[in-house]
Amino acid sequence: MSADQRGPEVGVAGAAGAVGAVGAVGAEDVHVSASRIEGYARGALRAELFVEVEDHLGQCLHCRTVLASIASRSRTDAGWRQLSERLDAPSRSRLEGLFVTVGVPEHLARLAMATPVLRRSWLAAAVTALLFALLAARLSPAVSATVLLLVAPLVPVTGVALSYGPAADPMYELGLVMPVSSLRLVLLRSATVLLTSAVLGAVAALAMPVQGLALFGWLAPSLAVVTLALALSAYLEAGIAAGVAGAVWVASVAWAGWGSTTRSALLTGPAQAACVLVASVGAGLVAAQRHRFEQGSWRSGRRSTA
Amino acid sequence: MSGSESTVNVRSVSVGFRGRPALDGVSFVLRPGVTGLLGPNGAGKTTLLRVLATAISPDRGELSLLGEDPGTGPGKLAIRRRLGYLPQNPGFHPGFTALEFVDYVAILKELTDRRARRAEVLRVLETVGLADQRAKKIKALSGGMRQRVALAAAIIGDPDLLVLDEPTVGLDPEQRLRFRELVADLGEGRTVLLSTHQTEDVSALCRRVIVLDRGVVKFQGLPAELKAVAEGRVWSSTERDRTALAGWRTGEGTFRNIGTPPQEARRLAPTLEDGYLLLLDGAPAADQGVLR
Repeated sequence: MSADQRGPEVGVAGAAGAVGAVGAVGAEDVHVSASRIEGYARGALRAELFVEVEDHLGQCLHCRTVLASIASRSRTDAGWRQLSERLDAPSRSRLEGLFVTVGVPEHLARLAMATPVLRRSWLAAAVTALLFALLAARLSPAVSATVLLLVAPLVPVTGVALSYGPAADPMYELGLVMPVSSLRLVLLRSATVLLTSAVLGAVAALAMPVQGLALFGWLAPSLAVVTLALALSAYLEAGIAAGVAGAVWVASVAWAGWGSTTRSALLTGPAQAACVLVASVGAGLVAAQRHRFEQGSWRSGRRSTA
Repeated sequence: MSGSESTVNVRSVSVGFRGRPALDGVSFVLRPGVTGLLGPNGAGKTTLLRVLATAISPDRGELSLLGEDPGTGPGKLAIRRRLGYLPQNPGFHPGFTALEFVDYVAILKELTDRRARRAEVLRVLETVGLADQRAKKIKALSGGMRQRVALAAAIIGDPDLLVLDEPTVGLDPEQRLRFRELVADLGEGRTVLLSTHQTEDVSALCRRVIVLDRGVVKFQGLPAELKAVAEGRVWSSTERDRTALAGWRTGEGTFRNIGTPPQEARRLAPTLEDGYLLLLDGAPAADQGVLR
């Protein structure tokens, strides 16, 4: 356990009721331990503890003397700098923190996660949708694969619709005129949504009474639906584009035999290959129409202008 | 007029929305310093500013920003690296603090090195006087402070061209004064285009002024020249003068009128606002030699 994780640690005795880094009683009665002062000088303390020790040092000659004996001015200054940087570090959501932990550069993690919907509401909706799918599958195991196949691709396409565009992103207009291209931002956020959805979908699939291709047969359709939505969003509002892509997917599942007790026609090799083809064509269209993502959607009259 | 070289050249630029022209053959040049852009609602100011901020490409005409062509990919990128833009409604992510918002914009401006970015974010927050408020959620800040946060984001990277869309709307007089000071400072050595409804902003800040009406440039020149449009055309009367283009009762109880004064009328010294109102009302500014 590191010094800054331990509980109350006082040097000189006599501090009944002492709390935190130093006692709650008169500052001159209780002193900070030498190890904690050392931690303070190195900037190794948690921010709150650092401030608490700093407060005490301002009032206690004894502890200042200890500090002077163990720490040079430059080390203390370095500690202050580190504290200041920690206090100024933008706060991260758990998901953003997870991305940084697994090696995603912090600026990319921030760009990917800055859309509010990625922080809470969409995640909650995604988990709820998959839980309902899980419940339906439990109640009627025969249609488990179809339920999963229907719901799993709709989760990421909803997330993509809610992660960019003037309706979803309050900083849309500002983002348009930045050196970091809007398409890059869209793709980064879409990839984040797809990745998160894939993890949630995989967890749901493993909890369902499905096997074989049905386990992960929703991945290629997810990619196809999302890519189709992105390609359409070069021409339509992001929400409408996602709605169209989602509707196409629902129709496809219905066409392939909704509720069939046999395996859905979409869970066959050729159907999966077709999904990959749709995804490839969609990606090609996005690349071909990339300039459209760099222009405000006001031009099409979807938003009013002054 | 400054003898310095033009940094923005707009020639015969037109933009339409569903067949309706928002900008119709707009031409002007900008030089370093603050230029005011005046115009009524629907005049095309925001569209023009979006064109200059590279958010909209014009349908026709030629555009050169900071010596670059925004019609090409490399040109657009080069401009965006040297551009600061404050939209009319700068959106904020609800959970962001002032520091987080500016930090996010700094990332979008390609400041990926954490230490360099932090230093720049603190510098711009210091410039707008909000370093002490940096840890506060934006939703907890006043309207004036929010505008200053947005301005801080606009000046990240020390841009050479600053495009500000009605930044003083909704600010109280004290906040507006503070904002003017900031914009005046920022106008030193860089090109600033300030869109505003407030003729006082133009009088206080701007070296030059452009008046846009229904997508057309009706005037460009010095603020004194715009004021001169109303020379001899402002008078006072004790009763409302029905022949005036516009008239209003002043705090002294008399009426201030603009238009074509009667022979015996007591003339008043015109203001920039008088010139602006007359110009919008179809005053023959060309006769004054200032319609460009």
